[in-house]
Order: sequence, then C-alpha cells, then structure tokens
Amino acid sequence: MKLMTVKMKAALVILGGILLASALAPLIAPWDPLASDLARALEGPSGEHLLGTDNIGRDLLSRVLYGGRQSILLALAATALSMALGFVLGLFAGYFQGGADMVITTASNIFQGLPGMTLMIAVAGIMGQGVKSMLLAIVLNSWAGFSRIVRGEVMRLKRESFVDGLKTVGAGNFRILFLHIAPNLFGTLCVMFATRVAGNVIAVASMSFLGLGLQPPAPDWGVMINDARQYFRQRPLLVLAPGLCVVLLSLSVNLAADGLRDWMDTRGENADSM
Amino acid sequence: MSRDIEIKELNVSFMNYGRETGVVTDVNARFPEGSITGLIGESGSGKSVLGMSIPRLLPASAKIRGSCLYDGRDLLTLSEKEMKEVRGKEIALIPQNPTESLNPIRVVGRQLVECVTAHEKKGKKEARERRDLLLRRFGFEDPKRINGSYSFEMSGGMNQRVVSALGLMNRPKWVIADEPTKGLDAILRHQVYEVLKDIGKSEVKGMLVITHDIILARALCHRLMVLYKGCVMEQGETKAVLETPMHPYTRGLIGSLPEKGMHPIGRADREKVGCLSGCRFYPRCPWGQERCGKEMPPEARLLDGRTVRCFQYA
Amino acid sequence: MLEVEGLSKKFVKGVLRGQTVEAVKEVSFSLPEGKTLGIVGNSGCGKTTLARILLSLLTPDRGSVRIDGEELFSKGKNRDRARTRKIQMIFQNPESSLDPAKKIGYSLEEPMKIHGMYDRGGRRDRICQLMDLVDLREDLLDRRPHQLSGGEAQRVMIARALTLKPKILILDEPTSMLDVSVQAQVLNLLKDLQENLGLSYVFISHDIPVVRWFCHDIAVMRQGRFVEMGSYCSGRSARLPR
Repeated sequence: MKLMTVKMKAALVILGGILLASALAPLIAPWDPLASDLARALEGPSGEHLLGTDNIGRDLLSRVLYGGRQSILLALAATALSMALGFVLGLFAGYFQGGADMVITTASNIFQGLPGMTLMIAVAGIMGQGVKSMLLAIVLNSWAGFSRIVRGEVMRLKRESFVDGLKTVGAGNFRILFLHIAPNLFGTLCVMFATRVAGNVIAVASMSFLGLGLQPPAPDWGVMINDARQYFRQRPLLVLAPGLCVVLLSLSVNLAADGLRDWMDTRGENADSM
Repeated sequence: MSRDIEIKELNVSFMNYGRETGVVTDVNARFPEGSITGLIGESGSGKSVLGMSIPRLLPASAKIRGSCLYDGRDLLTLSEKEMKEVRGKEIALIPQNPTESLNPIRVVGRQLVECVTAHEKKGKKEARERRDLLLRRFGFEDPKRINGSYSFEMSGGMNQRVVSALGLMNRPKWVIADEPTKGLDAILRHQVYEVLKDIGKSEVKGMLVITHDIILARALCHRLMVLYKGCVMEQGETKAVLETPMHPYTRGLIGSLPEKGMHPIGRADREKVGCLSGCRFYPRCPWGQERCGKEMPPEARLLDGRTVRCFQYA
Repeated sequence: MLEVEGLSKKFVKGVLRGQTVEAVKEVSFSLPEGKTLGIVGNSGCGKTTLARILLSLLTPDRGSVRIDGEELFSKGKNRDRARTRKIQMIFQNPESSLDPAKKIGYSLEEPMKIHGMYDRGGRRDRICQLMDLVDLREDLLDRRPHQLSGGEAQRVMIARALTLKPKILILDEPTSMLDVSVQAQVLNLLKDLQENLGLSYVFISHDIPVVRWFCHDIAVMRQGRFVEMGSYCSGRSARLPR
C-alpha cells in the first residue's frame, strides 16, 4: 500500500513553499512592500523589480511575498475560533440532547442555510469594516458545520458501551464528555479544521477584495487584486500573481486535508482488523 | 464433470505495508458433491479467508496461490468475466455482517428480485415467487411486510436470514455460508439451522459452513475441517472428529465446550511463540516436542480417512 | 445479598401514538452472596433493561432493589456513588467497552480516582494485583484497546469492575462474542473469582448449555416477566479439576 500519493506530495510541497515564503518574507523580499515610487509606477518585470511594480510604484514580488502573512493567520484564527465554538456547542447538543440540543441544532441549521458571502457582508455592514468584524463574520459563517459533525459523532460515541461502563464505575457527565468523548473526536476535528481552513483562506481574500476586511495599503492578496482591477489590461500580472497565490494555497490545503482524511481512514481500518 | 470442489496447495497471504503475512497455509481438501462441510476454528484462524478465496471475493491486497478445481476448471485462473458467471449461479456466498451486505436505501424485496434479474432479463414474476417462498422458509410469516422494509428497520437476526435468502435466489449449486448464526439467539439459531439443513438436502449440491459454533457444525455438517492459524489441523467425518478428536488443538477446542466441562486450552508459552517454521499450535500444545517447533508436521492420513497434522500420527 | 422486589419499567414508544411497552414487569428475586443467577430469554425480552436498572443507569417505575438491606433507589438522591459501586457490570462487546483513546492502565485507574481510593502508588499496586488476578501481563497496561484480543479485553473489563471491590457483578452475555476456547478461559476465571472473593453474579445469556454449567439458579424471562425459576445444582458438581 502506498503511504502517500503523488497528489498529496505535490500539495504538501506547494503548501510548504507558500508558508515558508510568507514566514521568511521580511528576509527574502527585495523591497519594502509599502514603499511607493510614483516615478516607476506600472513597470513590467525587470532585473530590479522581478515581477514589475503596481500603480504607485510598489514592488509586486515583495507585496506578493508579504501578502499571505495576514490572510493565512486570519484564516487560521477564524477557523480555530469557529472550531472552538462549534466543538463546545456540538458536544453539549450531542450529549445532553433535549432542549439545548433543539436550540443549537435549529441555530446551526439556520446559519448553514444562509448564503455565506451574504451573511459575511451583512455582518461587516452592521459591525463596520475591519479585521474584527471580518473574524466575527467568518466565525458566524462556519461554526455550524463543526457543531453538526461534532454532535453527530458524540451521539454515535454515546451509544458505545464504554460510556455505560464509565457511568457504572461512577463517572459524572462532565468527566465522560471532556475526558472520554472529546479526545475521541481529535482525528475528526483535525480533518475538519484542515478542510475548513481552505475555505476560509478564500473567504478572507474575498472580504478583503470587497473592501470589508484588510484595508489598503496593507499588502494582502485580496486587497491587491482589488487595487489592480483597473490596470488588469495593462499589467495582467498585478492580478494574476496574487490570484494564483490564493488559488494555490486553498487548493493545496484542500488536497492536504483530503490526504489527511484518507490516512486517518486507513489507519482506522487497520486498527479494526488487528 | 465433477461438481466437487477440490483445493490443492492453497496459500493466501496479504500484503500489508510491504510485508507479506500468510493467512492460509498449504490447504488440501476435497468437498464432495452432496455434502455439507464445516470450517471451524477461532477468530483469526483464516476460516473466512479460506471460504472467500473459493469464489475469489478477497480484497485486491490478497495473494492467492494454488488451485481450486470445480467443474473441470481451475477457479483461480478464470478471468474476472468468467468468474462473474460462476459467482451467484454456481457458487454463492452468504456473507458475514448481514447489515452491511444489504443496500440501506433500497427495500429488501427489490434487492432480492434484482439479484436474479440482474443476471438475465426474464422472470420477474418467477423471481418474486421464489423470493416469497424463500422468506417464508426462513421463518418470516409475512413476506410482504419484509419486502417493504429497509435493512436498518430490521434486527441483525432478520438481516441474517434475508441475506441467506439472497444467496439462494439464483439457485446456486454450492453455498458458502460465513458465520450464518452469528449474533442470533437460540430460537433464531435453530431456525437458521433448520433452513440450512433443508437447503443442503434439497436445493444445492453442496455447502461450506464457516462457523465457530461447534454445536451448529455438529448438527449440520457431514464433514469438518478444523483450522488453527491458517493451517488445517484435522479434517474428517463430523462424528469421528468430535467424538474422538486426534489433534491436540481439536481436543482442546472440544474440551472447552460447556457440556464437556469447559476446560480451556492452555495459554501460549511465551518462549515458544517465536518459532514460525514449526507447527502453528506448538506454543500452546500440551504434547509439544522439540521437533514441533522446527518443522511443520505433515498431514497424516488415518485409517478412517481423516487427516491430522501432527507428528504424533505421522 | 441482592433483593429485588416488584421491579417494573415502562417505555413510551412513538411520541404521537403514545404506545407504552412494558420492558420489565413485576420482577422479583433474591440472590445470596457467592451465588449466580442466570437469566435466559429471547432477544428483546427485557434482560438488558433489567440489567440497566440494577446498575441504576435507568430508574424503575415501581419496585425496589436492595443490596445488603440498603435501598438503591431511595427517594431524593438519584445515583449515590458509594452505593452504585457495589454493583458492577461486564458488557457483551469487550472491544467497545473500553475508551479507544485511552491506554488500558488509565482505564483501570480511573474508577479508583473517581471514588478517591488510595493514593497514586496504592492505585498502581492495586492495578498490578488485579492484572495478576485476571491472569494478564503487566505490559498490556501501556496498550490501547484495539491492540487487545477479545479475551484480553474482557479480562481487562473484569479487572476494572473489581477495582471498586463490588459485591455483585452483572454479566451481560460476557462471552457471546468470544471463541469457545476463550469463553472457557473467561468463565473459569469468573468462577475462580467467585470462589475467592465471594462475588454474586447475575448472568444474562441465551446460551443454555453455558448457563447450565455456570449458574446456581436460572430464571426464564419472557416479555418482561420471570416466567419460570428454578435451581440447577447439578452444573456445579460437574466441574472437574483443571
């Protein structure tokens, strides 16, 4: 049996490359991403500016290198927050059921039913623009997925006889829930987290593109694509370079998440068969 | 042409992370037409793998060597297309895990008919009649109700009986039943036993019953094959094997039955566990000698026609 | 001494139809120390519900359960830890009765932690002593449940039930998932433990030969009732030295 497919390897290489480049941006970027030089605006690729410059003469390569830093961190933070919220609500809903479950499940159904982008724009509209409202918008948009899956898994685990066993040796509900059921969800959570990060990378970029997230002049892929729209015909690279970065990042995260899931599945099977 | 199934030098191994693990070793057997043979042994003895290797239903990671003769052909060398013709119509498997063997989103009645009409386009009405007949024989008094149910609406015992009916829909010549009484209570077990016995007499040419239920094997089978860790330790007439077991493992197995006083087989001697080349039962064997740990004993043929894999009889 | 009197439990089936199913009806019996009561019956006859009530996982509608004269379901307190400790259970499926994410050592220590028994070292000693009692090697303590065979897992479950020094064990088809030779090992172990520790067993099964070999008294349960009860002393004397 192959442990890692070619697809998985490619995904990990791309993902690693993007993360490394973003992390090392201050060291490897040839220019200051914010320094403008109007005299050299909209130049094509040259020895000095490898990818050319934008409309106010900032170095494109440096901005692309810096551009992932904030959106990746934001996507991770937003996913972590929504996972924490969805996890806790899903645990309670699945374990205690009854009234609390009904409220949580109804809420998660409503949030899952709302179109994501509209919800996020609405939140940004009410809260005002900025990083905080973007985070809140993404969390509101993605917690429901976590809570539903966690709830289902908890309900499944609850029926296993080890839970009855723990009750007969006198374990309380909170011990069972947090010390026994929660750790068994670890694998599922890892896969869900990875899958969701990919979506949230796009969400952050889209919000910034719409002017609802990170604000210019910040070097961010979404912001850069928005800034460069009107110069697209003149200098297509201004849109293509950050755009390609967003696509590659979310694609590689997605593929890695798939691989992670497959790996967990086969591991589970082997454990069963032994 | 002979409708016996004959297995020669069959070895099955699985590739696991690049390592080959033998599951069935050097099995020679003849299952004669008109007989019911029981494959008995504990979990991990390879009895299911042996049974599944005949209709070639093992996963792709399995490596099968040897031959399996049936109707003048070697089943192990047939093409997948030819094999499809054999499966279901000639040799049918009644699988373990009945709930997983049924499609959860399709009512049972349709699945039963489909497995006939999928082979040939004719005879839907006939198939329905056969289905209702089989279900009634398997103890469902009202086949209509069962036909309209989904597998998840029924208990494990009911699913087991439905799957057994499914295996017989195409009037196979041979049936391989994998743990047909697993998870059933005494009354249902008896019902399944009655049906299998009846079918063995009237419907099919022969049957293999894979089971760890020795009581069932004793009541149902003409011949028994006792497996331990992939090796056939003893095979012969049921009565002879159970009443005067020869191999120390068979003796231990029968001694641990409740009516024989439940004397467990000794646990493995840890110093002997490492010996892979010798007899598989050596680490737990009360008769173990130095030689048993080094070489595999041959199958000795006794006067009453049974074979025993033990140096005591060689 | 376990005394059960007039135990009944109804379930409501189907919210709209309001059907009630009486899973356990007026069940009474008493089980002296060191004896085994076998309960046999079809699937769905109420055996499992009865077991869950005895373990106080369910509260009965009517009736009483007394252990050494102490009422299990007295008004007010629902589940009193000290009292429920006296009655423990061995489940049918050993593979799923242990938390798959925890090492065996953890699962064995946990009940004692919950009840505040011994200090750390004392618990460790008790675990080793119990592992020895159920005839398991100590290196299993660092394994996880899926690395154990069915028989080993069931021995671990027995050891875990014994950590709390119970008086009564409920055995819910403890060997129906095991092979015959392993079944013989586990049941012989349970018999030895009964002799040495004076445990009482409630043995739920549908395997008549096993019940006959293992139990002092047998009750036949059908549709929630005990329809027949009798003693089966012959099985005991049939035991031969191993």
